[in-house]
Amino acid sequence: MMAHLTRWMMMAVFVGCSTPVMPDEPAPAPAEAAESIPALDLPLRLERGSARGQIADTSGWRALQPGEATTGVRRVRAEDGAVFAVGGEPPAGRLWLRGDAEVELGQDADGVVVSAVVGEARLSMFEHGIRVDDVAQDHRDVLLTGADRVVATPTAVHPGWADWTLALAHEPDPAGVGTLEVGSAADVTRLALHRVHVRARTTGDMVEHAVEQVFYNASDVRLEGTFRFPLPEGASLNGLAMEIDGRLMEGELVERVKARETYEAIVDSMQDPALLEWEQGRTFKLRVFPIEARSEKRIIVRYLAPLRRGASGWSFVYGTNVAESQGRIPSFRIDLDGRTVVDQRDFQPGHEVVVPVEAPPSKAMQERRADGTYLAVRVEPDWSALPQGRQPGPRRVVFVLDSSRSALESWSQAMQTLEILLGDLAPQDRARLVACDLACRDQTPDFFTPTEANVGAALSFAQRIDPDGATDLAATFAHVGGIAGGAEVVYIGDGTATWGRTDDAALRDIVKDALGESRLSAAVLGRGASSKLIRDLAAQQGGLVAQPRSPMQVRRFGLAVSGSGQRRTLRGLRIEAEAEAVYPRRASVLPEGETLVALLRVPPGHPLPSSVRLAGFVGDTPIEQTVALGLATPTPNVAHRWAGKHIARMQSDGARREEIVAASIDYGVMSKHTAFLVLESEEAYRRHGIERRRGPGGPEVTGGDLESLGASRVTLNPDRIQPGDPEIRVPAPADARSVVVVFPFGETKVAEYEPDLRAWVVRFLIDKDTPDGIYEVLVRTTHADGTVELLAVDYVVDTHAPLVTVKLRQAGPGSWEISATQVITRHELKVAPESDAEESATRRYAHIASDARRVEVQLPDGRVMRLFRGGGRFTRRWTPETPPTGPVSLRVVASDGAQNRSVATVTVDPFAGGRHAR
Amino acid sequence: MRASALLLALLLQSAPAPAAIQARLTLRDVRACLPLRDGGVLAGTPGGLMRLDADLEVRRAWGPADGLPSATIHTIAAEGETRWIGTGGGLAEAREVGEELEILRVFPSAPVRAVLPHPEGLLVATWGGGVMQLDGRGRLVHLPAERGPRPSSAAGWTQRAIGLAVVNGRYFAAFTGDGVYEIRGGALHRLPLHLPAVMALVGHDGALYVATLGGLFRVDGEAAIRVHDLDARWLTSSEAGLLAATYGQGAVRVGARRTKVLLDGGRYANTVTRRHGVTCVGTRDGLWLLRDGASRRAALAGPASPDISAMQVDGDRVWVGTFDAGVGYLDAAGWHAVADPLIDRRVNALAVEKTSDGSRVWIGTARGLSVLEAGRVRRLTRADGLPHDEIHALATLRRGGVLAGTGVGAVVVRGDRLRVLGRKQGLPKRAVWAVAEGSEGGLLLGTTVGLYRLRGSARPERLSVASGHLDGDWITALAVQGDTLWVGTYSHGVTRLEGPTLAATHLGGGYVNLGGLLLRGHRVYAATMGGLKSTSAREPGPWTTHAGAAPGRDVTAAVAGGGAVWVGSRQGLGRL
Repeated sequence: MMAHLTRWMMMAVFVGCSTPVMPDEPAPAPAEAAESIPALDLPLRLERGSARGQIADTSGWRALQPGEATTGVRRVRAEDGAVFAVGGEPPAGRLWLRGDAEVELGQDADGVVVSAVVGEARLSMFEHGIRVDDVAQDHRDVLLTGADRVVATPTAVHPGWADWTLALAHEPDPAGVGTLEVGSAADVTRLALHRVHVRARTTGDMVEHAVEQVFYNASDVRLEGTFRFPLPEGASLNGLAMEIDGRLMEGELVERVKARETYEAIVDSMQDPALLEWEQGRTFKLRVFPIEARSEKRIIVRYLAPLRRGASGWSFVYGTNVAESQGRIPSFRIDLDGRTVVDQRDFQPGHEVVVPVEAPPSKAMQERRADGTYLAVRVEPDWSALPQGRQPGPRRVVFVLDSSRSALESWSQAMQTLEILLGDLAPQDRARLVACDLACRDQTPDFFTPTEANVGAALSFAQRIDPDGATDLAATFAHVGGIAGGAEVVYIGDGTATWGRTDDAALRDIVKDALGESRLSAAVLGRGASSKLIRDLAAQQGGLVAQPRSPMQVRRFGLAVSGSGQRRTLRGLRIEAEAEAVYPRRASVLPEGETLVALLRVPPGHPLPSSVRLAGFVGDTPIEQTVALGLATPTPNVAHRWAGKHIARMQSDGARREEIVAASIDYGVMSKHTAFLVLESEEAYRRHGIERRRGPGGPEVTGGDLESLGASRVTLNPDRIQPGDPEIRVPAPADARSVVVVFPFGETKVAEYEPDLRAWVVRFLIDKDTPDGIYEVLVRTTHADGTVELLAVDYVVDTHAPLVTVKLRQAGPGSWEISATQVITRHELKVAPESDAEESATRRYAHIASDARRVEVQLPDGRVMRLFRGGGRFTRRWTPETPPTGPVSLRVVASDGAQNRSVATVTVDPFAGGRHAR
Repeated sequence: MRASALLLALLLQSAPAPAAIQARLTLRDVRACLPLRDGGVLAGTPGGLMRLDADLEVRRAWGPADGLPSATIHTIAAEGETRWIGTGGGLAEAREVGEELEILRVFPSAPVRAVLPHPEGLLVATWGGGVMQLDGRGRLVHLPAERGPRPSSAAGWTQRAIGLAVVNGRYFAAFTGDGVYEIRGGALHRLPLHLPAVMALVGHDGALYVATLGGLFRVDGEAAIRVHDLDARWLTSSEAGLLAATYGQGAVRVGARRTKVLLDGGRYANTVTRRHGVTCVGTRDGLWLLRDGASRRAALAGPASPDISAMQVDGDRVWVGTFDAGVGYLDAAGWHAVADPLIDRRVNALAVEKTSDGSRVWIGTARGLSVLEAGRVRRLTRADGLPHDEIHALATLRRGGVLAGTGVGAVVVRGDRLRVLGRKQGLPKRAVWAVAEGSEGGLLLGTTVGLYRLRGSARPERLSVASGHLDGDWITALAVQGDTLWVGTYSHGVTRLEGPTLAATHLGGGYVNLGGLLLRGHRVYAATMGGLKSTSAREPGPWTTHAGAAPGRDVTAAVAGGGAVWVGSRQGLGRL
């Protein structure tokens, strides 16, 4: 078997980004279509985002203003995502356009027509008359792609594909950009974020992220701070590193109490630790000390996150949403699989970066460890062989609101959830609301039409409730069963029975008897929420369950629930395979169109399973299918993914803390009992009795830092090579047959295993005549069982000396500030000769060129003074015995990380500015 | 006396040896071979080209001094009586005259990885220069691609041609990062195949076979079918079948259903060629001839790698450390490898300390400091108190022991005692790349930010570019002669610092390699990436480059002994 080097399409799309990547003029639409359909007669109103429109009777395009109702629109094109209302108030429909997407609109005697789509769009049709050209009108809400022929996918079938529309229409969850706060609780200040550099690498259907963030302490005092980083949904933290004393130190996963004690002990002794702990939800909190005065602090967070799948295929998505206004980031860059896909100065966060990628190479992925082989399998039943579902139609929904005392803590979230779910109802739907604790109270005696007034009344009813009493789920569902009459049921609460029948088995029977064929879905809220019982109940009744932690997630849940009646659901699902441990192990629900990832562990020496068996029910019809796996592609991080599920199960099963900690450390999966601790040196880890277990996540090239060659974990910038003797380190298993490394200069070397590093290592040398450029090293690992894995890692050769501008200004009485700022010239920006991707290489080069590390100045009295780096420049205060009265001669030496050095003697007039030094 | 031992003995004598002989010392990493009609074989290594007789004794050797474009030999091919030699610096056309090889023409180019006769002129696959064709006027002409190289999804691999093949009159070329092209009408036309990195190409039994990092493929129409997971690096079509030199399984014959191992020796085979009923196999560990089911191995005459990183002379022994293939020594009896688990194979520095009992050899490696004394080896690492495991530089001290530059600071080792020189002495937390003992007993430490002088307990003095003493801050080599200090730098040549005022004279000289300064008599020698250079130590003038002192341009070591200067390079050994 063989892993493929990931290929990708070089296209980055910014969703909601203010920096357009579109050409000046959109491409003309097909002439035939433009002539055959009259322009839109209904008004079109831009609700969010920015877009341009082509209006009938005019040849050009013009920007559409938010809120402006425009008639006669023929085509619209989103600049970076846009939402439109079609028609007057209330609108007859809503149209979402993803960044760079364009649709052609028209209106004929039958109504509004969408006749061509470039990119991705979504159309909600509230009234008849809006239609998609040549597409059957079975669904009211569809996702659209395709230019020549519009392809419409019911949103209800793939609600996850509509995530981008939720991000457009609502405030997205914070993700992708961290904050570093200092000060007391009463006076918190955020340090300026200077740079963000995301290095992403696709591994199967996941993406390894290393998010480097550089903050700046502009104050004159040493600080302790708290770094927070919101992980994106589905992500799993797997590493942390921090720059300490100019060197990047990798963190180690440590039992949480020990980590905290070590941290406190070290802070007391004024050294340099960092401690990362779980805060809540997907947010992690990193305590950082010290943050030196007028210095930068570099922190790298590593995590795994899934590729996203949408209507037009797979994509890498990186959110840059900040909870509060961050302001522009001076430098923002994303590299995906070694290619720079975003490289911007003064980047405005708040959007998603979307890069289409090719589909993962296979449905089955495997990773070997000494304790077994781990498999990740994307399972999709053959729906064509399963009973047909119901035709889409109006919904009848009973909303059940948990009004017990335990709901008090999450009451505001419950109100928000209820409001969103009621808002998702279409005019033809019907609903009713019931609030339950020990007993139930019906808001209305019957189902109501979801008019604005009725929805408002339902919300008022809920808001007047003072949560109190226990939760009697048996009584609740008995009551609901009596009023539902086959309608779907959506439960909002913590799902924990505290009164009456509380045993799970009995409750399952009670709910089955009470609800019959009614589908039960649930939004599980609250810290003490128990999703186990409610998941079992939903699985039994064929509904969906979510534990939303943000309005965005509630909206996604609402979208999925609203469409769940229109698609089949495989409920009571069991996955069986010839494996030791399979996750998900519990029966769960798989709606049509969605993919389930099964994670398996196969003991050493056992053959890998060739298939998995699915069993469950569609409606009441029992089904059983065998899904062939095909060849499993060697893929990193599969064991990590399996362990994430395994540890979650251990926690829910009440496993002993020691066992959870051991598993957490073994697999590098953070749990609630472990924390990442970063210490200043390898010696410090030894001193505190912390075993270094974490090996590199992928092949890496040392040599980013001449001062740390040969250290146990030295990658500073894996793609940045200085002259010298760097090493390639490949984290292949010790029992691999061979690890062979092919270098771009034509040599092949055979790596040797180093137990201390837990990696295969080979040393190489970069010839001094090597042209500047981006180079790729290929690695072939032949595993113990003969399977072959191919990997690649980049490095960059840079030989340009930095150019700086030097300035001298009076900073106080008798005191002067010398500052040096690096200048990027065309010389530094020349295209890497190795690359054909000129623009990408230029962007990449700009970063290399702007990485001056050290500036020294020989003063007029002969002393040499090193300037301090920070805030994008080098500065230091100079207090001469005799203040200058005119131009001063300085000898300036500037060097970069690759030891390229410029020397110049410059005459600087402190009253007029600076000179360039090369 | 065997021929190779004889030549070694010649080399060890004081009279200058022909540069060609140097190649014999690196007959380990055989990249190309060609069986000859008389039972002998031509073999190419990174250190040059050799002719071995039927008994596998080296008879002749050729290098740049003999007219080859480069010492590194990548491929050898026969076309009638013509021998095409693909080297790291271009192509050579040669003719055998008895045991001699007459170099007829030389065509400088990027490294030549494969050649193939073609009715319109020899096809030449070059690493970095694409595919060339030798036209009727004796020029190498670049063959364009029908459409330019594809967008670089595998950065740096396009234009790296690795193989050529002919199948039923159709000619093909392979690029490591860009798949397979058909050569038609003087241009390259890309085949729509999805292949991992390509390593070799051959036509066999009417089919095109492509060796990739992901296995061996047979091209069937527009599809590439993986027929084996071999990591083949060279493919040969012969009457005995399709032969493959593989990384991991030696030389094999590829059958329809399974492969037969012809030679497992060394496991890592670079090349396999069959001619005149004889199969030659070049591996990372030597040269083998297979005939009638029996295999014979050529005598090995040098270090396991030609990539020399350090040298020292101890009486009649010349100690040689390699970049990643261990350490050993040469004496009149030949090459002696010193393999011990306590000596890391990545050698950075060597020092020989004279003791009352003999010699103590210090070996600075990427993973610790090893000491060889009276046939016993011990190793010092961080666990023993070293500040860092990577040893960059070594210098013996007059009072005994050594001064070692490490990945973080330096250390003085005397017997079992270690004295770390670091922050407590006022030194920065930096790697030390060069070390020496000053004439007055002080210690000199070269870093990437200049030179530090430690004298007694005084705060160290830093000499740097900013202080005006140096022309480059990354110090790679030091040599002391009385009160004159010679400082070699990575990219700014050599600086002489004289007298108590340390008056600086910047002498240039290029890129000085680690430990690359030697004072001998009245001359100072610099092992640089542009060759071995020397100038007068008394009145330095322009540098003299000693071309051919060792194979290749990147000279990494120079030591004096036995009345000569021994020279090591990335491609082998030599002497001056």
